[in-house]
Amino acid sequence: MLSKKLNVDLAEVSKPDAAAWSAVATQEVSLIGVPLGMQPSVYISTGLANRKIGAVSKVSAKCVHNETELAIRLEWEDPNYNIEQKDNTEFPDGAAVLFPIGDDAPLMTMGSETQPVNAWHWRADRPASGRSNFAAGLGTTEVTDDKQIKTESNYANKRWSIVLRRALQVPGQEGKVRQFNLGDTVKMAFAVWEGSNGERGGLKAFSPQWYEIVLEK
Amino acid sequence: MAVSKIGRRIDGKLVEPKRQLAMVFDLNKCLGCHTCVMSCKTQWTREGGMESMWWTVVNTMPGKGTPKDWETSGGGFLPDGTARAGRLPTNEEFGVAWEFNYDEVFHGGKGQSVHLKPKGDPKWGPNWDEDEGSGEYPNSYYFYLPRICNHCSHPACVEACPRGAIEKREEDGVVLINEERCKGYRFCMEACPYKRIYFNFKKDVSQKCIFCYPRLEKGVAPACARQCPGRMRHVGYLDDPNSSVYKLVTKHQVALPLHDEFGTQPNVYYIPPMAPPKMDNQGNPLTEERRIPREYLESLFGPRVNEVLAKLEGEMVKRRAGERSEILETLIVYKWPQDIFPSFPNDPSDVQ
Amino acid sequence: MEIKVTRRRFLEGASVLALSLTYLNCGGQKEATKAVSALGAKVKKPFQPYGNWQDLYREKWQWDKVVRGAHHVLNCVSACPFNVYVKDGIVWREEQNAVMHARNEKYPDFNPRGCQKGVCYSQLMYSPSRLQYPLKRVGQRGGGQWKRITWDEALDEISEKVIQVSEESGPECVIYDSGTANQGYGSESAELVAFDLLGSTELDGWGCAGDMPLGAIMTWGLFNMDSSSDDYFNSELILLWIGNPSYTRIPDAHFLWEARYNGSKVVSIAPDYNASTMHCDQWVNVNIGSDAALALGMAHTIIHENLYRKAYVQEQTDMPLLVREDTGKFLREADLKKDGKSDIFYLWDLKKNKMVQAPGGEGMGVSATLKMDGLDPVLDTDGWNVKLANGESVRVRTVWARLRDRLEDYTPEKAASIVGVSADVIRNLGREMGKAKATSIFGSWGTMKHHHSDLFQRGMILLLALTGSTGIRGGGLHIGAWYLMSGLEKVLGEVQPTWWQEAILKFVQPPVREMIKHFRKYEDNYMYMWMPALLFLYEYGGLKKAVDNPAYHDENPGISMPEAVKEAITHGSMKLYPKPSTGKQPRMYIHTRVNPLRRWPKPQEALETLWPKFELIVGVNIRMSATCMYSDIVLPVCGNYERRGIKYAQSYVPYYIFGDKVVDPLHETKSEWEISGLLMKTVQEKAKAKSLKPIKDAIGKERDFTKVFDRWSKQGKFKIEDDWNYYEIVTRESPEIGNIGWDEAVAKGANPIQSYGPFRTHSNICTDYEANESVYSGQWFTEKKMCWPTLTGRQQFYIDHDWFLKAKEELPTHKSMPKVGGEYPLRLTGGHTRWSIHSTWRDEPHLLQLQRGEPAAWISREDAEARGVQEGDKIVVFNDEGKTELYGKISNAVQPGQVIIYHAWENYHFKNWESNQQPVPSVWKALHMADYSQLHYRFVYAGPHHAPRGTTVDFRKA
Repeated sequence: MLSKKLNVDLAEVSKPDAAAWSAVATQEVSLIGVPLGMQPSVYISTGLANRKIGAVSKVSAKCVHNETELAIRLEWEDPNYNIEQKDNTEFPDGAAVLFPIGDDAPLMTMGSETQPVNAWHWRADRPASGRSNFAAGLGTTEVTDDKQIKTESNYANKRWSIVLRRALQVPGQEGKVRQFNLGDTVKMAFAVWEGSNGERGGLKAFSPQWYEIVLEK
Repeated sequence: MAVSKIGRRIDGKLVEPKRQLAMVFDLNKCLGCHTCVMSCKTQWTREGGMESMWWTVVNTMPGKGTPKDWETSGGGFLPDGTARAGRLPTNEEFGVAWEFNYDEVFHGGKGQSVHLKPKGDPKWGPNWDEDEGSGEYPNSYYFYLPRICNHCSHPACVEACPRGAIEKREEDGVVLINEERCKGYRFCMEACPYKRIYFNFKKDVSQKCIFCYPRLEKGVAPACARQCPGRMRHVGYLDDPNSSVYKLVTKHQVALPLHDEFGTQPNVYYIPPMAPPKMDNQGNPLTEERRIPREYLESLFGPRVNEVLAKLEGEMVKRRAGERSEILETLIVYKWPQDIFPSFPNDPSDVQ
Repeated sequence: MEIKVTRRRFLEGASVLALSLTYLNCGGQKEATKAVSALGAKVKKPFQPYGNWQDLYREKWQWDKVVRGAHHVLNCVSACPFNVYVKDGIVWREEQNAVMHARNEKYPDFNPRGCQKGVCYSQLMYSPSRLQYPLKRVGQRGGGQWKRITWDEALDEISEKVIQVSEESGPECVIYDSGTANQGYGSESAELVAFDLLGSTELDGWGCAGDMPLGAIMTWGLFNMDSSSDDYFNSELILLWIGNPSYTRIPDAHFLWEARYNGSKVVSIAPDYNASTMHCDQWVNVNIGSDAALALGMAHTIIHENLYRKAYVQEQTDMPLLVREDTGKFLREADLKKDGKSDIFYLWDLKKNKMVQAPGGEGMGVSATLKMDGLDPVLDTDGWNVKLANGESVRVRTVWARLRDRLEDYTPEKAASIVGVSADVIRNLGREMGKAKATSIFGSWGTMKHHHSDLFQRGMILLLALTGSTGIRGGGLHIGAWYLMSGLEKVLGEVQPTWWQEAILKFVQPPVREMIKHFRKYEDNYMYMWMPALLFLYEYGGLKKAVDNPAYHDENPGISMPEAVKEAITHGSMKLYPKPSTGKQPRMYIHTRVNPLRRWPKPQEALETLWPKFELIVGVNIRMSATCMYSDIVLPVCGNYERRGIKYAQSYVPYYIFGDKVVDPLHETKSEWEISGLLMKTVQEKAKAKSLKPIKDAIGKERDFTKVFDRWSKQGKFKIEDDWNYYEIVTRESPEIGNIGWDEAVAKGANPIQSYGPFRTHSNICTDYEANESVYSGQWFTEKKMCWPTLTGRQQFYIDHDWFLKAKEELPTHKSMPKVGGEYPLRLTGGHTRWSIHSTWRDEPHLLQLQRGEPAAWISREDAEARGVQEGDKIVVFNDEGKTELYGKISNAVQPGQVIIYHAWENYHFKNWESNQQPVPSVWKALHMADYSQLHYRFVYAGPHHAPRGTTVDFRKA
């Protein structure tokens, strides 16, 4: 997957329906529900074992940069529009992309102590700002920042499309976030939460393998 | 070994606290007044995001309770010790903090065309079925059941949290949610069979009774206990032979956990309710029959409830004959606070 | 991809995936580790607790200061000391000041006192219903349109109206109403002084609240009696009779349930299964309104089975007194001797075998006692003939003999058919009471709200007398009495006790009957503007029609209501201002912290009839009450924690409770002290400016408005700005708390009683005070042999007033409830709710959330089903007088035929503001207008009496 270089202000692609996106190649990504047995919770791994997780089975991804920012567009079909959590039983839809902070990291376990990961997390109830997460294993996710990742989203024709973008380099955040250099080949994975299916936290659909993107020079 | 009298050991995977605090609620003294509820409210849950929370509730039993139908909402553990799936109660089942149209009524210039009422026509609240009960008149019955987080020895919430955000304190066994780690997933709320965990929508975290640990740390009893005018909430360490909790739970074994079959090994115990005898339609007491059906009490407090009630009744007969009874004298609470929470006798106004 | 696998297979699949991913990634792992290390990132271990996350709640539990507080500005019968925690200048919360000791090791202590209302006054004080500024109505009354005005504007308008009305029509056309909310011992009393000085009509709201223990007044001549709560530990048997202390006595109820653990038997006598019944050993589920029959059935057993205490009955009651068979009147000295007294009575002494004067008669004077000196009065007799002074011979019999005749109508079998329980239940209860060493009856103000409550109460007192239970430790009727503070006498009223009165009070214990006479005289001379509020409503508030309706009275009422009212007013035993004969009308109404339109019977009548008469209606309140909503000017008062105060002291707990000023008055609120001072000052200034001549009041006494402030301030001794001096005098001059002065008193908050002080009679407890023992009532009579303050000097069960004789109520009896409300099948009952103190807290949002947020009626399942009403439905409760809509809470605890509405919802809680009082005309009993020795109108003592219970109603689905 190529992160195409565009010589534009990335604000022009910040909207999911911006025309510029039509020129960018799409990577179709298959998702599966997380294996509940791996969840670090006896309740989830056994008590919820019969629950069907992973309501969204595929997501279309696109990626561009302009030498200062990286923008990722995700689109998936979702007949249930969940943008709020106003009731205990409500969970918002969400999506995230995941990068190893170093060159590589175990994906299934959300990284490890020695190979942590960085997730860009968008949730439909806070549509304007994504959260930058640091994780070093299942259940260790920590929000490190909620400003550096800008997000915009659009729901139409029972489809979500969202854009997440961030500066390639975030000074002072070394080791906490993935830093990008032009020409890098970077591993990336995807996850989508379907709120109406009670998906939150580790309960999600995810791409069980890393994809690789190359940041076009 | 923290708790043994109900016949199980703490799950080996969990931290076994050095000591375990417990409460005993004497249902034969509960007035249903909700002073505990309001004391807790003003102490902890008034700020934005917590308006609908009632960390302690008082339910009229039989009744649907708080949240509605909590007893059948799942969670806890199956007899084989595996986790049982639970249901998330809705906000309305818990009871939302209604907004009222004060301004419209008082200053809106609308006269008698408007009246003071909650917005949105609620259908349930935390005490909606107060004083309704069951039984056919004149064999009506109900009693009050105050409930808090049970600070269980096998806490389903702790096992449910994928983030390890819930801990059982080593020094006293109090179960606390670490709000810095909690991300508001609500697995704990699902897993808790007593449904005593609330969700803070503003902070995106789950919150619940904290056994007033900041008070405990200063030798002050929890607000609900210290402010209870019915003097029915005993607080103490289970291993403290001087505590009323020890006497009632361990020594005399007249205090029983609620829904022990939920498998979480709760650390709140109840003196089961007595009631006037059942009667015929002429008001003649039928002493052989029970006003509160025993099957119902067994469903709440287990089969030992029969033995406990017999013991209490026996003690009362003894007492009427002028004999002493350590059980009854303990329940009376002659000297407050030392007889009811001996480890926490301090007055909060003195500790800062 | 849809995964349809079993859990096991799914897990296997997951492991495979994980393995393969690890395999794929293994090449890059080392480098990644290096990279991270090179960057120096500190990787946190999962599950590691974070440093000080527990500080979150520790920081929440902090405050700046703690001040003693109390809830003294409301009519709550539980005196509870509080500590008030202040944070950033705001009252953060409160917690009980639990410093009260047990009397001795036999009893539990009194901690912690305070209920769910008390522990959230901090919320109420900042709640949306709180009044903040003086408001003036714009548009129609009750329209809810206001404009903010200044205090000066408000005081000017009110003062000018007071002067105008008083000058044009007389000061009695200004109606002042402080209801029952103003009974604290604090500076709010300054307001009473103010309106005393102005000569306004003062409405005595006590009877209007339904709290008149008329049976006790008839029998004992005492307004209320009660013990300390720990005295239940001395009761072998405790009857909770028409009472639900778990609701209404929250800080004291534990003593009952603890006494049960201690061995007392506790019995609930109530139609419904309630929060107190659940903790009892037995429930006697009487039919509504049958309580007198139950008492008489029990009395029948006690007498027939010889379980009564004969010596007690002979000495303490009127049972041995002789009654003429021809007239039904007591045999009096005047019957036997020319110039004999009409208040000396007779008994037959078996020892001397002759008729002798019975100890105790009022005519025997100050030195009369109940000492028997060897007398053995006959009780049982068929009677004999006595020769009168006029030569006639009449047959006489004892009250006892007449009582026994009366009780033949109440054999357990006969009583059973009225009460709705078996004869055995009645008989057994009578036996248990007859055998018990001491019986307490908790029969408080809830027992007084039926049309025939006086009969209920006379029955209860009869049982206590037969069993010798009144005036002994662990025995007696628990109504609710007060400890007084002598210092109040120094600052209240214009007339202070003279030096010799003080000396007498200090060194001698005057007989109760004499003291009451003294008080009565004082009230007649100086408090003559007080009048029963219900009589005012009868005349001016549109109540007459319902109250005069003969269908709403007993078929044999003794006298009709119109005749009784006429008689009472003509003979002056009952006051009514403005006097109807003058043709004057009430013109101005000032209600302070009370909520008449919430409380009055059929408030719709008052709104229609009385309201138009008022040219100005002023509400003085902490919060926006229903009555404030219908007022013209509303003045905001500061509440409990915003000023000093003394809670009136209740008999249950031997402590005086003081509250300090915790924070400054909120917004533009002022204390009643300041408001009444400013009002007096403004009236005086305006009166001086127009050189107003003294005005004649309702009885022709002159009132000089140019001096009212000077007198209010005691010639400058009291300042408007600060009431400290008031509190200092009250506390310094009160031996009851050891004359400690304000600062010391309030520093403790709860101060143990040191002694009863000189005004101890007024407490109605009538027992010497022992610091290390429980308090029980009536010891002066039973042990010191002091006369009861009645005509006969005895507990008087026989009232030989003509009306009573005619009504056949000369002795305790049962009468069925009149159908007040019309021909409807259900009976309305009620009681104090657990959720509010009258209308205070009624609108507190947290407490409302713990109810249904709106008014509710408890209805039986049977009645609900018959009317197609289901859980969650709203119902309309109605009768001929009015209707109200509320939730129908279907409860198994309710007796079929009963509708329970707990009180104190504001009118504005109801659709169209049609409150639960709309169908309640609350017709009192004509007999209560009688003037008979101990039964007469006095300030907060007796008189026409609110009787809402038992109103006939029906309901339908709304």
